Amino acid sequence: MSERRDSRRAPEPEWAGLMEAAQAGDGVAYERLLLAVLPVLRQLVSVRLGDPSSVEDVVQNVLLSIHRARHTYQPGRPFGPWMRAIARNAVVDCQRQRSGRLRRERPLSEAEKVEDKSGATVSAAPLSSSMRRALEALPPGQRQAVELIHLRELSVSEAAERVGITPGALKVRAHRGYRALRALLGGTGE
Amino acid sequence: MSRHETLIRELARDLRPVVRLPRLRSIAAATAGAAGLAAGLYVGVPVLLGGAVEAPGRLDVMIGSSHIVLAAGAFLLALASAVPGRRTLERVGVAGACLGAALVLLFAPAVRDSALAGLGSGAVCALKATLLALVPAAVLLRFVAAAEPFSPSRTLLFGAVGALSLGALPVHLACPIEGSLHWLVGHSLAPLIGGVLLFVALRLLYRPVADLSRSG
Repeated sequence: MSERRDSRRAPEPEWAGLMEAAQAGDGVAYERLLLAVLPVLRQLVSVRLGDPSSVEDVVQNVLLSIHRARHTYQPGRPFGPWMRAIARNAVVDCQRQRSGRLRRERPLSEAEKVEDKSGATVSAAPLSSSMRRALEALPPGQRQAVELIHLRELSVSEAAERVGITPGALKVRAHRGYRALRALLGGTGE
Repeated sequence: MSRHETLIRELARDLRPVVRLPRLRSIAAATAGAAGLAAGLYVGVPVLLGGAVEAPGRLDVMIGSSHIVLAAGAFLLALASAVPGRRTLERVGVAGACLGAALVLLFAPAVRDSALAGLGSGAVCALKATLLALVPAAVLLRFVAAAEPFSPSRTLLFGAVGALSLGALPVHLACPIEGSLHWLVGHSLAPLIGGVLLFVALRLLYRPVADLSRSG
């Protein structure tokens, strides 16, 4: 048991060192760190989430959250609990969103369904005028990413397939789009 | 190359150095210092101006200690929940806050003479406590806004209760009014009632302060 725990904790000093370097702006160390923790994150998320279809999306959210919260890591403290807490939070977020969506959703009546250009049936829910203006102000790539993921509720993989780019690139576009939207709607970006 | 590897490459390519968040113990010390300064001024200025302050009795000290336990627990909880990976500290904070709240409410009715004495001025004491709480609350808000709390509302609520409890301490020690209802409303419940009001103010200020701290 303790051997198993030791083996799980073994790379943590190295991860902590890489994170310290990343905080100082070392991109190579950061890339090494994120690639090294990726399998651990994937396992952690899949065990906690229990929904294999969302695992990859949540792992990507965890990577973005680690990036956003990297200034909160304290050198000298173990890296594992910090990373695992971020992963746990991302899983909880995903579960909340899913249960919220299930509560809100109801089957669309025929009158509420419209055909989009690709032939897919989508909801005709109207956007507020300020949101529509903000969306129109986004660069085309970011606007498309936000629309596909949030308005048409496609999964990241489906949206990326439709645009013809990798899911990772789509996620980055959408992330930048959200930041720009927040700034345009009265807040500021990240 | 997988989607995650592409994302990782993009994040690493745009990487910039970051300003690390101060250590939690530094923030705890700064908050305690700010609260101590406010309390010192509240109690000390009247003394310097020639007023007399009655030495606190045993019950006062016990209630004061309960406020300190509540404040320490609530602040620990707020600070620990503002950054990822401090679960143990959060649990200690929960235990401290629960113990402190229980003690504060337990001691309140154990008061001396007329139960109704000074009931009306309870609101004045609660208001004074709220004003004194603004100082540590401002320190905490500055920290939380720069951190990455999973739930800013939860973090700020506990921070507000902690700040109010610290604010209620000097008010309680310097208060000449005796009466269990006055103590209950003006002193013991101040961290809860005022804490909620202070929380609303902190929550409204959180986003602008967070945006400010991220932009500069």
